[in-house]
Amino acid sequence: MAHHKRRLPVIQADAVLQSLPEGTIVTDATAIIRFINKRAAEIFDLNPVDSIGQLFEVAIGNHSLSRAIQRIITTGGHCLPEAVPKTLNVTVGGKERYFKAEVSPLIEEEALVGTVLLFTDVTHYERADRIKNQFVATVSHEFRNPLTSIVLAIELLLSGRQANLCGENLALAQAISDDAQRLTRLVGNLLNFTRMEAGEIKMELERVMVAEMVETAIIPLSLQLKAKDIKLRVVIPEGLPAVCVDATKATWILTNLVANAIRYTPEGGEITISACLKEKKVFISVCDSGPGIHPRHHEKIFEKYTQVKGNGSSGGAGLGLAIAKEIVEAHGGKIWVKSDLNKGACFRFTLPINEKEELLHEEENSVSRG
Amino acid sequence: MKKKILLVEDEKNIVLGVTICLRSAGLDVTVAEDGADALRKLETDKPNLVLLDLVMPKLNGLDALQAMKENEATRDIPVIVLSARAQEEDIQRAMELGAADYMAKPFRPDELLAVIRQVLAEGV
Repeated sequence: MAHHKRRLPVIQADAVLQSLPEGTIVTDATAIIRFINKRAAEIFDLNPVDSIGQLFEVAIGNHSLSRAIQRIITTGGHCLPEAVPKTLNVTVGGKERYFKAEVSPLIEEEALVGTVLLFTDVTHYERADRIKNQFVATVSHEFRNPLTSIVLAIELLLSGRQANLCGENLALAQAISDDAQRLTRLVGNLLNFTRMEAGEIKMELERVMVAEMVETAIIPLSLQLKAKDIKLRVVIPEGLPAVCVDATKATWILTNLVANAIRYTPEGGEITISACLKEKKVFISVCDSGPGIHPRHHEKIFEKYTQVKGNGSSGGAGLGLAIAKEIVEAHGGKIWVKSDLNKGACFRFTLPINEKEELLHEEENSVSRG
Repeated sequence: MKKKILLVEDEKNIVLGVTICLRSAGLDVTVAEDGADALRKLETDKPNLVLLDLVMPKLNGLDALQAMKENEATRDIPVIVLSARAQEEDIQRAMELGAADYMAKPFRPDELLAVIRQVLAEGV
């Protein structure tokens, strides 16, 4: 029996785009809105007819999205797809919702004709993340009382005032003390991170010399450096301008990066801290002579609760670099790593030298309505 | 003469550690288990310094601190707040109410003694 292919009705692309559950906006190569679907109009509380023909920046008014569009236009689309770093927080129909925004080049016959913006509702994940953060914060907080009595008890025993410990007893007591301190650091990191994610940690900006920061940062690490016979080189050019940062938090980044470097550097190795001025920012590097990090992990290591296997055991919660990233970004800077396997690792981050730059970060976190 | 410290804390293992730590440093220790108990013992024991936990049953630490600072007989006794609630707003609130210093849990015996000595020295 002959099989007759039934003719299917043509589906219009416009109808498809209008029906997408994701908000979709298309601009031309001059950043003028040429298409906006129902969902996007709802998200940004816009009249789709009025907004077509308007500049994206005028209609939507979000700086980081506008900048992402401009970057695509100026590079002719030869840049990586832009994921806007933070989720957008928007009130839709009286309810608070969160959207992940992605901006991609729109290419026709190998030429850039515009950009496509996609807004995916991630409210569900965002809420789950908040509940988890709240839980982590509560648990870390509850750990502090038992930790206090453990730390007090073991330090009193080790001080020798209560009993003279020796041999294996001393080693056992020392082990409790070491791990109580490790647990204290972990709990502190967890609490700091969840509070930072929730935006609860305030930034107190001041002008600080990088050399001073480095000096303070390495004080708690001197014993560890000595124990592994690691040579620490500090290369800071004279005349490097002061950075405008929250000194405690920025110093914490350095301590954390150097502590990581010590952990992964073999005995007798070398760690270099250097700084330089470039593009009106101070670039600070911490380079080690450890086993290095495979390029496929370069981004992943900055994610929370992430530990890359195979680089030696570290026993952390995988939060140090995630906190460092939060702090750097809160200063309007960037942090990244350059490394190849067996060639050491170089962590680099930028800090601002003047006060105006930090404020950018805050205004980008909310979407203003057109 | 031995300095008298009033420790206000409801966690018995912390009470044990702090008490041993302070006594071995030559300090006299009295313990109160909650804020209300603390206010009573402040009157009877007249301590030179108070170590105050913030989260406690009956009367919490911040309320006890406020009551203590409002009472003329006890307002000049220095208070060091000990708390697991190491959040900035708690520190700020305790300092506004007149705490002399603040220690976030967990802390080591030498850290606690250093802060106590400093606060006692300032009070002289």
